[in-house]
Amino acid sequence: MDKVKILVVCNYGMGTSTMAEIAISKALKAININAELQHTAIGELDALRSWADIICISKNLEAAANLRPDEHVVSLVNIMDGPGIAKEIAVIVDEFFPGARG
Amino acid sequence: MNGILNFLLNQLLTKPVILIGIMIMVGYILQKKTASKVITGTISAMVGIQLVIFGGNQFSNTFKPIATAIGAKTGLSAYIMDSYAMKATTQTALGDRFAYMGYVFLIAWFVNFVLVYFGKYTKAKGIFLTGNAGTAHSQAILWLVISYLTPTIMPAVIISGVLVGIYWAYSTTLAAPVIDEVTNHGGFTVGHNQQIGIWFFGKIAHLFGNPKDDCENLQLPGILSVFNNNIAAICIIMWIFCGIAMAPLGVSGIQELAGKDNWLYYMIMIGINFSLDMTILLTGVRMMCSEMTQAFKGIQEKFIPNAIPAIDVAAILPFSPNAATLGFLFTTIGTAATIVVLVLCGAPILVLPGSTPLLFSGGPIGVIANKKGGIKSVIICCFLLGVIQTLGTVWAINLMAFPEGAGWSGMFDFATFWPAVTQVMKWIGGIFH
Repeated sequence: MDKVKILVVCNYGMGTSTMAEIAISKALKAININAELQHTAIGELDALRSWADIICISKNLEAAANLRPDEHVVSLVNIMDGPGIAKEIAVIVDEFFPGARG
Repeated sequence: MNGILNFLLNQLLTKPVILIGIMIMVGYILQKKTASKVITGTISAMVGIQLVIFGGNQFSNTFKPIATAIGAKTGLSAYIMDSYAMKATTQTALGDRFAYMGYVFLIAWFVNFVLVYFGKYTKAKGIFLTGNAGTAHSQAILWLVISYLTPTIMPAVIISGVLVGIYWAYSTTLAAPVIDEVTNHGGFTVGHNQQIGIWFFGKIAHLFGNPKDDCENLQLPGILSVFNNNIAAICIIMWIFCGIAMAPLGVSGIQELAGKDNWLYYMIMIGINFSLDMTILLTGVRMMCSEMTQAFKGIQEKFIPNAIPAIDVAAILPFSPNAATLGFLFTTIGTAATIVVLVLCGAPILVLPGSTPLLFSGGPIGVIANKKGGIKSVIICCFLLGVIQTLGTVWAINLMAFPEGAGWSGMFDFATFWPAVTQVMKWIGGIFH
């Protein structure tokens, strides 16, 4: 089974993105999406950009991320809402990375 | 046998990287992780600790010559107000005793856990899960307790752990209702460095405006987004504030600092180097803390599922991106105005803000003020926040018991509540010594 690579981005790449990664990872397991997650800081986004299939980023940082139209992006408002975020990821996975569905 | 024990206890286990490395390894083993995870996780955490120590020293090394030159020219003692300056100061001050920060953290978490477990009687609800802030609290309070109450390490560790644990349990609980309102029942509270500030501004922010004047209806200039990039933000803020603070030195004074390099190159490299030091620190903290967060979150979910997880403050910024940016801006203005007033009044201490208090106190207070009173409240509350944090940091620096340090936190709780606690510790210590 394939894995979808998800990058979680917050301001400093420590507290918020770590917590979001835990919530998202748990929710993705529950809906059988096979994913590999990493988290980073907005300033270091470019170092991991090519690794990621999907970028989950705090809504307030989108403007600073210079996102490209061809990137798959999930905008995060409540980072603790794992199931809600996983639902948005699932839509992208089903369309572009169906191999990651368990 | 005694020789071996002596060697282990006095030479190996006193080293922060070894002691904390062992604690993390035990943590992995208790979680029944695979052998490869125990090995890779422990080694990464040990590298992380070394990065944190190295980054902290670099931070001080970048600032020290500048502070010395400003001091020689103007008579002012210059310090940085940023959480990472407090980290650098206290880990240098603690030396090898930095290792005991790990025990303080564990005791604090245990105290927080027990208080929430018996929440029916204690009224505590929030459980602190932010490893990056928690380690900084542990080392800072340990240093203050050692300085003012007792130099004996075991009682100092226990007192620090209890103080930090009580602070975690109740400050996060105080912030919970406001955060619940701002996030539309988001299911979390804030556990960081400004929870008491969130509670305070949550109480007064509605007085200054109307929530209908929502910042989110504004179109802010896109260029402001550069301050949301952590690497660019610290560099630009340091250029501005260090640049102004160094103006009295003149070109010749800066040329003296620059040595055989060009003075302008030296000025450019101040911002770049501060950003470099922060990147090293953040990478180190990330390697040290991310698995830890996972472990503590797991324990909380298992034993106290009804507790409110207290997480990093940046989690509330996406609920109002414009308010976060304006909050940062007006906190910066309030901070700069207070610094000017302090200098004009002849204050002997000059504080220069780093990016952390401006972005992570200013931004969140902006979000809260916007929810309660719209843009007018954002402007007034955040300006006031800048004033409080700057004056409070001067107070805290007077109490930090390590004048050669790079600076102190600058975040709300470390500019109000903690200096007050330190002042009390100083009085109590004074009775016994």
